[in-house]
Amino acid sequence: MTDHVPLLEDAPYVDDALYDDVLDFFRVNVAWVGAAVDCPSGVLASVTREARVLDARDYETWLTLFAPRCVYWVPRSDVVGDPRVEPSLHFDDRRRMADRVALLRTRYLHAQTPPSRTCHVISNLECRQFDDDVADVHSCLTVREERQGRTQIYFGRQFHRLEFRDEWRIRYRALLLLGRDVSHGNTTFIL
Amino acid sequence: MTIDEAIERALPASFSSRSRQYADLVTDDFRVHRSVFTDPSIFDDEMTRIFGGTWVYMLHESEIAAPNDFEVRRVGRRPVIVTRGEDGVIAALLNRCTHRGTLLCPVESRSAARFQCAYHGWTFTNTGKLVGITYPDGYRESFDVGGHDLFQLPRVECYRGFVFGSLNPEVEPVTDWLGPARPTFDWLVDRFAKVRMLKAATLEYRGNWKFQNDNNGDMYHVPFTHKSTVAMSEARGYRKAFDHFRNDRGPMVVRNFGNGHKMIDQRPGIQSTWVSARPLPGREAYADLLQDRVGEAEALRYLELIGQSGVNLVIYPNLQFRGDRCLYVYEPIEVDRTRVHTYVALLVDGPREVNALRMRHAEDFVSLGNPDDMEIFERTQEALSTAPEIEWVDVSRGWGTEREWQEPEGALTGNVADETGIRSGYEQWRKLMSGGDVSDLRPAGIAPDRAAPVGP
Repeated sequence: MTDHVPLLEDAPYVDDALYDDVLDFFRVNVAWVGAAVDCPSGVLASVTREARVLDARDYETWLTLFAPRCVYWVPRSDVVGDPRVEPSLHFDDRRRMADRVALLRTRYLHAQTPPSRTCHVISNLECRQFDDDVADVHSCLTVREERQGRTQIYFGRQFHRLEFRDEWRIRYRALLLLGRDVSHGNTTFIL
Repeated sequence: MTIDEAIERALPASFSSRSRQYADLVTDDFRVHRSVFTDPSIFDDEMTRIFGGTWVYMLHESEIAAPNDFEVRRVGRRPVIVTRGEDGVIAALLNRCTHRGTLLCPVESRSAARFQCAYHGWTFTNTGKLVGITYPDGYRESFDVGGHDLFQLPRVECYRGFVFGSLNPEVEPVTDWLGPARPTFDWLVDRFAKVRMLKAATLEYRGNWKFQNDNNGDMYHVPFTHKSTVAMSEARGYRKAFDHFRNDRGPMVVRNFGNGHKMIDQRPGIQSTWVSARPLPGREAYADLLQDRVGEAEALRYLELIGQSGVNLVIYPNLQFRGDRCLYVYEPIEVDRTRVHTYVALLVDGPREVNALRMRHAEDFVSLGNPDDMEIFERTQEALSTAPEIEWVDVSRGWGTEREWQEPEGALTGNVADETGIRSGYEQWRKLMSGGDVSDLRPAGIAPDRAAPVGP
């Protein structure tokens, strides 16, 4: 595939078709109770690589793990509905993801001065569906964060829709935090 | 004052002598004593004298739109069930069973005509009436059933959809209490008629609740606390963040409305809230869709409902408008712990494109900007709590200068970066904490610190 939008360019792409597709992706995955399917190890490794890259605070590389028209979604409500009529904790397109990275790279982000150290632990990795160029992967995420002598722990279940373009890239990532509808502290490091 | 005297001062004495001491904790030249932010016993008194003594925002009427809807909220720390009765009337009931004191309703929201306590099965209507005692034969004939109705907040008022409650039966009507803040309140509500209020993110920080209240009337901190937002916008090649605020000279103002209310008025500095809104996911597609559908002029009118509206209005003690019914509601948890509940209003019958963008706007600064504020609040709490040698913080900027003037409509107006608005909060703090008889908020004989009102 060569006709895709350059990886780091911010051509806007969020429209009704994208919302519909993200919502469909979420609903199918959140309802899944079937048996996992086999997939190449490279598919599952894309999810653990993301965790590794975030722990290294290599946010520029993190952006390259995503497909051009990607979404990073952290819903807020207990019963997740259409993000067009419901606020989320994060509903990021590539532009807003890149904003987040730019913010983390300024020298003035007090909320990350000093920066957090994190350990993103991925477990319960399973592939829901796989064909030659698309795969849905489920995992449980535990993020332990240490900052200024304080520890915070976040738990959640996440779904990745991966697509193959020269390598496996993340088209959608949805993170369903256990504490999505209660208060949270400083999460300026990326969950 | 020596440190020993300061400690002595913060210790619980009799109620009335503490009242006199509270008046001294905010000085006439607008210094505020550190104990106001750090002393747990002062915090406990705030929960009665401020969060029990005046109006507290509870919810928007759209959150309990249908008969028998309810929401569980807090008035200060007191757990409250805000109900809409079968007849549509809104009531606020203390969420505490009158039998053995159990939290009556553990779920956040639902619809129910009655509440049954999970402990021994006492049942109350959503107007607070005790209608069912299980195995009633066990009670003596003289047992006062009516005296065990749920405690009801004596005052509940809905002003233009915003529902306030008070434990103080003598509190003035909401319209009087809003005073000169009312036209700005109306201006915000008039921008779109019908809304449905939605819960968005809830933030939590380890600091006193007044830091967030002060901060929402503070433009002075913006270039410093939010330097990361400015630098990010530059790095990304966007329009300069806060480009309407370069220094403290300009057409924008802050206002002290009295009763603790305040505002930052950015309208004179902002040409278009839509143009100055940060790039949101879907911005281009939905603006185009809307223009195609309703035409350019009409589209722009709607798009102006996305963004900050140019008004930051703080209604003391716990409500802030940031934009068109995007709200911050402050919940004090402990002297050094606060939750900030954020809300965004869905425009009912409004263009779907505008709503899709309003949802994304509600997530933007909350996750990209507010963490810097909260970090500063935590640093402030840390130093105020641990460095007793320096007793005072200063909120006098602008006071005693020619930058501050009294407007005929009743507001005291100052330069946008002055602490004129913040002083409104501390004037009200001093008034509520030191003045007024609040003894009717609790039955006689219960120590003021931990008293919770019980049934009438």
